[in-house]
Amino acid sequence: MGGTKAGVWKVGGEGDLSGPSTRAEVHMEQVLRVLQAAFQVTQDTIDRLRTDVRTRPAPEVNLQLSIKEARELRPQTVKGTTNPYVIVSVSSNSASHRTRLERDTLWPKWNQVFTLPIGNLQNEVIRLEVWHEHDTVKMQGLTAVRDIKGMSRLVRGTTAQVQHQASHLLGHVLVNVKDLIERGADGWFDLEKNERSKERGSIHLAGSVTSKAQLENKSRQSYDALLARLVYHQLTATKNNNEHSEWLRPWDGHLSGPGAASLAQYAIMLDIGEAALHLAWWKVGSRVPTADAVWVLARLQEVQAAISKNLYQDEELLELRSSFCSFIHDHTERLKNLHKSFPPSSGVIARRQLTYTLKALQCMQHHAGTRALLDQEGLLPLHEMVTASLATHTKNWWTTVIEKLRGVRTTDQQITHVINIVKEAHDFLAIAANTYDAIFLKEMNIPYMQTTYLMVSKKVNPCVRPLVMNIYNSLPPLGDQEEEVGVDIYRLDAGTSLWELYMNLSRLYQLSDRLPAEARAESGVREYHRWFSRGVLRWLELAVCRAQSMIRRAVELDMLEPQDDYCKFSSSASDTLGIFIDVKIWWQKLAWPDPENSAVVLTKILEDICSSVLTYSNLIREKVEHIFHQHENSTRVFITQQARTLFREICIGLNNIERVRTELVNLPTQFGFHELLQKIRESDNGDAAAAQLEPTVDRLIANATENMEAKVTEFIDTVVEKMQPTLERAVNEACEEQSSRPLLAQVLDPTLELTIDQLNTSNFKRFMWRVWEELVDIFSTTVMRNTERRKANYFGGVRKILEATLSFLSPADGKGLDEETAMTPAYKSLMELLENLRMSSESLIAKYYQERYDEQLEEILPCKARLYAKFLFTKPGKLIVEVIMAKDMVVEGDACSINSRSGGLALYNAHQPIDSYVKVQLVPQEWFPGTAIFKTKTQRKQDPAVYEQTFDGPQLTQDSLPHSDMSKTDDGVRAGFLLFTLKDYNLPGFTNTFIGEAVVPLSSLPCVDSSQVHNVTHTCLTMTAPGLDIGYNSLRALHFRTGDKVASSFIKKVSKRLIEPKAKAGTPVRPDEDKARSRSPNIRERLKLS
Amino acid sequence: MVKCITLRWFGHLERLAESEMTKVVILGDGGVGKSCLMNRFVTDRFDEHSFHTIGVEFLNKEIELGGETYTLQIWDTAGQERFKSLRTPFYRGSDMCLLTFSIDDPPSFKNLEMWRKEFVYYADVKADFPFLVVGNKVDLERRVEREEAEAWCRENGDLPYIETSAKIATNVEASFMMCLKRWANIESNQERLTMPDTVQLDGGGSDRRLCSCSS
Ligand SMILES: Nc1nc2c(ncn2[C@@H]2O[C@H](COP(=O)(O)OP(=O)(O)OP(=O)(O)O)[C@@H](O)[C@H]2O)c(=O)[nH]1
Ligand SMILES: [Mg+2]
Repeated sequence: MGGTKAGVWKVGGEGDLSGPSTRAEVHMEQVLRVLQAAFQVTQDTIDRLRTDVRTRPAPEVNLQLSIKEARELRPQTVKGTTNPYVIVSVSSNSASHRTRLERDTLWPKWNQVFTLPIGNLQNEVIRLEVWHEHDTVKMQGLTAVRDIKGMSRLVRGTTAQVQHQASHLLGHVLVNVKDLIERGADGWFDLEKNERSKERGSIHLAGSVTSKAQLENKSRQSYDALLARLVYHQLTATKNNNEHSEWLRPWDGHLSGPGAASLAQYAIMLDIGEAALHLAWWKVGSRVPTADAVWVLARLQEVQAAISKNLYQDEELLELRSSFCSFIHDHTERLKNLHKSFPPSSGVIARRQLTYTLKALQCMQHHAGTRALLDQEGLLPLHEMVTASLATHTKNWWTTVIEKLRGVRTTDQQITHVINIVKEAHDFLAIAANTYDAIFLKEMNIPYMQTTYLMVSKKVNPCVRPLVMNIYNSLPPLGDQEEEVGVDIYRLDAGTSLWELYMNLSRLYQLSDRLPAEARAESGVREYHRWFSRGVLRWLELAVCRAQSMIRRAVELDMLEPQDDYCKFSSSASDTLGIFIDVKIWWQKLAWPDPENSAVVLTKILEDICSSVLTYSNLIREKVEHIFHQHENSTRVFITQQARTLFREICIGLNNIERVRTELVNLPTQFGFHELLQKIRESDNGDAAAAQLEPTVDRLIANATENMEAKVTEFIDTVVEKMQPTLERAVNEACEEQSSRPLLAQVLDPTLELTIDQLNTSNFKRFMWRVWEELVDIFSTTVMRNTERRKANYFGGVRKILEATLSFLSPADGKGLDEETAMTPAYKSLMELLENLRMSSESLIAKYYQERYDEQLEEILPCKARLYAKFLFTKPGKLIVEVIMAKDMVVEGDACSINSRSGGLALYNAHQPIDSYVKVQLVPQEWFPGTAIFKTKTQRKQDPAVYEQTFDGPQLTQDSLPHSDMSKTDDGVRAGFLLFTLKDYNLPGFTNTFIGEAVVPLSSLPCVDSSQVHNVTHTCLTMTAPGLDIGYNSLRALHFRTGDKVASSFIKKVSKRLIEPKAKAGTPVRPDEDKARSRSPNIRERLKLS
Repeated sequence: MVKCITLRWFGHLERLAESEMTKVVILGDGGVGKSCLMNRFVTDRFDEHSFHTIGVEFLNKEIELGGETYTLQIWDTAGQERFKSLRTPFYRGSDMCLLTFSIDDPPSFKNLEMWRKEFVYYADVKADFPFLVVGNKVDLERRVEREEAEAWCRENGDLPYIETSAKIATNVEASFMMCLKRWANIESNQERLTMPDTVQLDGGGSDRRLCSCSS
C-alpha cells in the first residue's frame, strides 16, 4: 500500500487503480481536517488564514494538465474508427495546445502533459475539444467499405476533404480547474456536442496545480516535513484507536486518504521526482521504530536501486548516508534491548520484524553503493556490530540478574537467589534458543544461541559452583545419628533447595543439547552434576541409613500374613521393594548426565541395595526364629492348628526373602544400567569402559543373590531342624507299626499340603529337598539303632516305608522332587543296607559267597593258588567233585598272617613247599544239613600238590535244592555254592593256615548222564583270600547280628581270612564309628547314643 | 574292613554360609598397576594395555589360609583424580587396604600419604588399620629406593611393605596373603578376647573323635 509510483497516491482504496468505481473522492474539507489535525491547528487559525488568503492577490499558478486517454468515441472512418486529437485552451488565455494525432482507434491514449498558466484558480475553466482528422481516400478505402453506413462515411469524408475541411469535431468538454483538483486530481469527463444527447465518449484527465514561487524554491525538506508530520499523525491516531497494537500490526506505510491526497498534491506542487520521493519516504519510514520491517526493507531497496542508477546528487547521498547510519545506530541500539525491542511474547510479528530488520542490515552490508557510503563513516561490518549489541544485551541482562545477589549473606538466601538466577538464565537462554537463534543464524550467520549460552553458562559457573562446593565441604561427616537436623536441609532430595538448584542447572545444561559438541564442551555448567556428587553420595549414605531403619520397622510391623490371595509374601517384602523403587525414582529424576559417572554411582547404589537386602533377610530370619522360640514347647509341630499358623508364618518369611531376591536380579535393568552401558559404548573407548563396568555390576548382583540363597537355605535348614523331632517320632512310629501311615498320612501330607500352599515353587522344592535329606538321615539313624535288636522282617518293612516316602515326595506331576536325583548316595547306601538287613543270616552268607564269586570272576584279588578240579551233577542229581591238583601256592610272608603258628617259629616264603590239603563243602552250611565236608589228603611239601581224589556228594535234585527264607531270585543268590578251601597243614594243636578259597555256584555245574562223566573237562580255579578293599555288604549286615549265632560264628570264621593291612586284621569295624560319616554333628551325637 | 554309610549334605550351600567374606580395597595413583595386580591375583593374567579403571571394579577370590577358606572381595579403585568423589563411598566396610605405588614413579610414592588419609577419612577407620604398602613394577628401573619406602612405612605405624610386579608375577599372591594374614591375626586376637574358650574346645573335641575312629 501507499506506493509512490509517479507520485500518484491511490487514495483510501484497497484495490487497484484501474476503474472509476474504486475511486474515492477526497474533498478539500477532509484534506483540511487531516492537515489541521496533523499540524494541530485550531479552527480559528484556519478561518483567519482563509480570509487572509482570500484578500491576497491570487498567486500565479500553473496547471499541470495530463491528457491521458479517451474512450468510446464515435466512429468516423469507413473502418468504424476515428483519428482523434485534442485541443486544449484556458478561458482566460488565448493560447491553446494540441495533442498528438492517434489513428484508427476509438480508445486513444495520449498521456501528454501540458502546463497551462492559470489566472484565477477559483473560476478558471479549461476547454477541451476532441477532433477527428479525415483519412485521405485511397483505393484500399473502398475495399474497406463494409455497408451502406460505411459508404456514406466515405462519401462524407471525401467531400470534406474536397472542401478542405480536414477535421471534424467529435465532442468537447468544459472543466472547472477547481473541480478537477478537488476531485483528487484525476477523473473522467463526458464529451458533448450541439446539446444533442448522443453519447460522444469521455476523456480522462489529471491535473494538479503548482505555484511558481514554490517551484522555484524547490525544497524537498518541506515535503519531508509534511510527510513526517502526517506519518506521526497517522501513528498517533491509530495508536489512540488501538492500544498495544504495536505488535499486533506494525505500521505498513499507510496514510489516511486525505493525508495521502494532500501529500500527493504537495509532491506535484513541489515537482518532486521519483527518486527524491523514495529518499523522503525511506528517511521518514526508517526512523519509525514501529514501522513494518518488510515495508521498510522495500523502501530501502527502492533507495538502493536509485543509488545504483546514480539518481542522487551528492547532497542527497549525504542525506542518505546519515540516514543509513542512524538506521544502523537505531537498530544496533534496539538489539541491545532485544527482549524489549522484539518481545518474544509477541510471537510471529516480533520475529518477522527482527527478520526483516536484519535483512535490511544485511542489504546495507552487501549493497555496494550503500556499503561505500557506510565505509565513509568507518562503520564496522554490520554482523560484528550486531554481535556486539547482542553481547551487550546479555551483559546488561546478567547485571540486573546478579544484582539480586548483592548483600545476601546467609547460605540459605544465597541458594534461593542462585536458584532464581539459574532459572532466569535458563529462561533467557530458552528464549535465545527458541525465538532468536534461528533468525540470527539465518539472516546474519550469527551463532547467537551458542555465543550467548557460553557467555551465560560461564557466568553461572562462578556464581553457583563455589557456593555448592562450600556447602558440601563444610558438611560434617555423617555421624551415627541417622538424621542430622541442621544439616538435613542441604540434602539432595526432591523438595530441597539444592535439589531445585540441581534441577535448574540440569535444565540449563540440557539447553546445550542442540549446540555442537565443541561448544558443549566449553559450557560453564557442563560439569554441574559433579558439583553435586558429594551431595549425591551423601544422599545415598543417608538413604542407606534410612532404608535400613525403614526395613527394620517394616519387619517389626510385618504380621507375616500374605498381602492378598495371589501373592505368597507379606508387607515387609513389598515395603522393602518400595524403598528400592523410591531410590529408583530419585535416581531417574536425578538424571545424572555423564554416563560413565552415572555407572559408577549406580554401582554404589546397587551395592547399597544389596547390603540392605541382606539386612532384610537377616531380620526376617531373626523374626521367624523368635516366633519359633515362643512356640518352643508346643509339641508335634506342624500338626496342631497353632502350629499350622506358625508354619504359615515361617513360609511367608521364606517367601519374603525369595521375593526380594528375585527382584534383586532385575535391579540393574530397572535402574537403566543397560541403557547407560549402551551410551558408554557409543563414546570413545566406550567398549573398554563398558567391558569393565558390566561384569562389576553383574558380580555384585550375583554375590548378593548367592548370599541370599544361602540365607534361604540356612533358614530352611533351621526350619527342618525344628521339624526334626516331629519327623523322627513319625519315622519311629512308622517303623514300629510297619506302616507308612504315621509318617506320610499324619505328618508329611499335612505339612506338605500346608507348604505347597504357602511357599513359592523354588522354596517349596528347596524345602522338600531338605526334608528328604533329613528323612534319609533319620531313617539311617533308626536303622542303625535297631540293627542288633531287630529281625530281618522289620528291615523289610522299613525299606518299604522308605520307598513309599520317596515316591510320596516325588509325585508324577513334577511338583516334588525329581526321583532320579533324590536317590542320593546316602539313600542308595541306606537302601542297600536295608536290603541286606531284611535277609536271613543264611541268605546273607549265601550272598557273601555270591559276592566272593563275583570277585573271583573279576580277577581283582591276588591269586593265592591255582586249583584244578572237576565238578558236575549226574542226571539224577548226584554231585561229583574231583580235586586234581593245586599249584603256585602262596603263603603270606607276613608273620602276622600266620600268627597262629607256633609264634612265628618258621617263616614261609612264596613258593616254599607247603603241606597242603583241600577242603570241599557245600555252603551255606545251614542249607545243606547233614552233608559231609570232604578233605583231601595232605600233600607234604609239594607244589604242585597232586591230590586226584573224587568225592561223591549228596543226591541233590532240582526240587531239593535249598531255598533261602525269601524268594531266591529276590536275593539274587543261587541256591548254594561249592566251596574249595586250600589250607596248610600245621602241627596238631595248631590251627591250619588258610591259603585261599574258591567258590562255584551249584547252578553253574554241568549236569550229564553218568556215562558222560569222563567227557566233562576240569576247571582251573583261582584261589583267593577275601578282599580288604572291597566291602562286602553281606558281611556288613551280618556284623549287626551280634545276637544271632549263625551270623556271629560265621563272621568269626570269615574275619580270620580277610586280608587286613598291618595288625588290624580281625577287628571288625563298626560302621557307626567310621570317621568319614556324616559331617553333621547331630548325626554324630545321635550315633554315639546308639 | 567294612565300609560305612556316608550321609552327605548338599555341600555347596553350606560352604556359602561358612566361608568368610572379607573386603579388600586397592588404592594408589592412576596407572601404578592396581587393576593389573588384582587381575594377576585373581585370574593370573596380565594385560599390557590395561584400560584405566572407571570408578571401581571388583572381583571375588577364594583363598585358603590355615585351613580356612576366605572369600576376598577385592575392590579395585580408580586412581585418576576425576573419579575422586565417586570412589570414596566404596571404602566403607573394608577389612584391608593395599596402598599401592609404582617404584618407577616417585610422585605416586609421594601420594601414599594422601591415599592413606583419604582412606582413613572415608572408610571411617582408625589410623592403625591393617594397611599393606605395595611397590609395584619391580621389573622396571627403580626410581624409588627400597629404603625410602621402608622408612616411610616405619614412620607411618610400622606398615608392612612388599614389592611386586604384576607383569612378571612377583609377590602378587604373597602380598594379598600377607594382608589377609595380618587381618586374620587381628580378627582372631579380638575373637579370643571376646570368647576365649570356644575355638579351642571345639577344635580339640573334633580331633579326639577323629583319633578314636581310626584307632
Ligand atoms: N612393567 C610393568 N608394567 C605394569 C605393571 N603393572 C601394571 N603395569 C602397566 O601399567 C599400566 C597401568 O596399569 P593399571 O593396572 O591399569 O593401572 P591402575 O593403577 O589400575 O590405573 P587406574 O585404573 O587408572 O587407577 C598398564 O599399561 C600396565 O600394563 C608391572 O608390574 N610392571
Ligand atoms: Mg585400574
